[in-house]
Amino acid sequence: MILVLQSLWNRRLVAALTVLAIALSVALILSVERLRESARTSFANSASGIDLIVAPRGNEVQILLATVFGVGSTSAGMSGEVLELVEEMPGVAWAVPVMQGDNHQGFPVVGTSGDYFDHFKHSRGQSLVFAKGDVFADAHGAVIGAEVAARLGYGVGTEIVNAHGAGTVALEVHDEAPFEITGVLKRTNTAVDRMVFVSLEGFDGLHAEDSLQSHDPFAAVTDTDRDAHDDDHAHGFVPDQINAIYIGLSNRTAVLGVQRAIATYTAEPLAAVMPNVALLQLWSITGTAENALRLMSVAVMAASMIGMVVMLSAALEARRREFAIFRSVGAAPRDVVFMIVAEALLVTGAGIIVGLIVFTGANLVAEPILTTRFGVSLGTQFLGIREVGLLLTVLCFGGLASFLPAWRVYRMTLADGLTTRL
Amino acid sequence: MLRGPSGSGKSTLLAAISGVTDIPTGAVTVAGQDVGALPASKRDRFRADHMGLIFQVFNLVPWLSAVDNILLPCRFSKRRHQRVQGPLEEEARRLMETLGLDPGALASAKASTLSVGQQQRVAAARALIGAPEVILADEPTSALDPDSKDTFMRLLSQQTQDSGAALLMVSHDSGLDHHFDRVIQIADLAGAGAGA
Repeated sequence: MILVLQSLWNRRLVAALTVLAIALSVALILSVERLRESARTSFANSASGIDLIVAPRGNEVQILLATVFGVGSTSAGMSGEVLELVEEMPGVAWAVPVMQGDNHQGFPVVGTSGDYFDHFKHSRGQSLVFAKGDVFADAHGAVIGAEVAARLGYGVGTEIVNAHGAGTVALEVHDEAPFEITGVLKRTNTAVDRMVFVSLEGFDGLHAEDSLQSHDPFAAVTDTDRDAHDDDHAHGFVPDQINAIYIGLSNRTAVLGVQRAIATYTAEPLAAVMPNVALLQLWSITGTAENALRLMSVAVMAASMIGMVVMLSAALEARRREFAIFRSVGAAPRDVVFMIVAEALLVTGAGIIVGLIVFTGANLVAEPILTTRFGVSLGTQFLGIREVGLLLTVLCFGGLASFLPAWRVYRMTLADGLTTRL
Repeated sequence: MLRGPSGSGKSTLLAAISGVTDIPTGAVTVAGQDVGALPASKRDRFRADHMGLIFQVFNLVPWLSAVDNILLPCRFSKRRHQRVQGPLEEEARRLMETLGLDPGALASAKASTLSVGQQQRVAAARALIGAPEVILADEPTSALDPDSKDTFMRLLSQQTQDSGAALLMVSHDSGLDHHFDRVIQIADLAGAGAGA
């Protein structure tokens, strides 16, 4: 074994390059897998506490992306009356209205009621927790996610101004209606981290001021137009138009009934989307791209394995003499074969270790970018069982790949014996 | 010493004795063991345990140090390892010294940096370590100049005598005859060879 190490050390430059090639492909394979896994967990965690999303009829994936992740937007709004209707359906435990369409420096702004913070659950039933401050008390309050706070350096008391539209380009800045941050949420590693929450009044107020009515947003509560709404309900202010309603069910079996009731609602075309079903649809769409990425990383791995076989094979001719010497001092042909296989395993093993280091480094660099842009956390766990299995497979293939040069060496040593024919 | 012209089968005979090539049962007996009767893997072990080999050139693994080259047989043969008294490295240095090499300067030098004469002495030290019963030498002096040839042969025969080993050397050089107890012309063996 020491001989193998010494022999490799003698060819350290080529060996190091081979190790590097394997390391990069290992890092690539791990990154693709990790990204895929964490995107899925993060998305699933974001939506895990919502049983149904009611929104104007449209593509389910689009509705899910827009409402839960703040990516893109739903086609239109729906009447605020739907909220009451939904709340009274059997089996519905809570319903929270959601308004969207604005952003703050690229982070989506969500107009919602204070109930949101009581009912929304993420990552298998965890509630939202305030790191600092508390929920907004009036139309000028805002609650921000952990990532928004970290990225923009905001704290309780900071005044912010939102812009219309979903992108980073501020098409129209609502600088006439600033918000004061009243609370910062604890990190959840879901889409919530990169959201800015304001009250429905506040959100509606932004747009109300643009309209002809131009009234004080507080007046909206007592506006005669809204007397049609039943004021018994605790949710208080309900705007004319909302984008979606999150529903939590008291009884999971009610899901189909509620879904049917909403689909057959005649006043306007609505849909009730089950987040998990929509996520599956999303994965089936992204699956093709994922598979292409995986295929590519496997191809890169195969290329680096071939590189290793080339390294081992190219050295064989030059090492004929060396093998003859080993034979003369008592090495059996299988000892020589063992040396080649051991070399391959060592090179692959070193490649895996260096690859893990590269992977961890890349993770540290990529993590903040991914959390800011997509609310996707790569996770802090070092290696999952799947990943360890993957690495073991790579090691096995490294050993298998060495059989070709090892077989050649076996025949060579048998043919050469002790005399080297150079 | 076994003497004969080039191409007369000297090296082939050494290969047969050392058990690298397949030979029929009963043809070669070394240290009381019928080499031909052993399966290939046992022959490798037997060679490692009981024989030391020296070749014409290219005896050493170029990327190993002189001492590591000398100790190679001990890595493949437990018997040779056990027959060395005291620490392995010390024995290697002792052999270097008795063969006229300065261990202080050369012990850790890479084999590829040694001169041909030094390489042959390192090869001799390797053949001698662990006191094998038989030392097989295939024209070990042909790459050396006449003076070094004599010194090399003197040191080699001295050391083989000291360790109680038999030295079988093949060569076409009649100038070395006086180092040996017996000199056999390979032509004289032809009958026996044909019989085997």
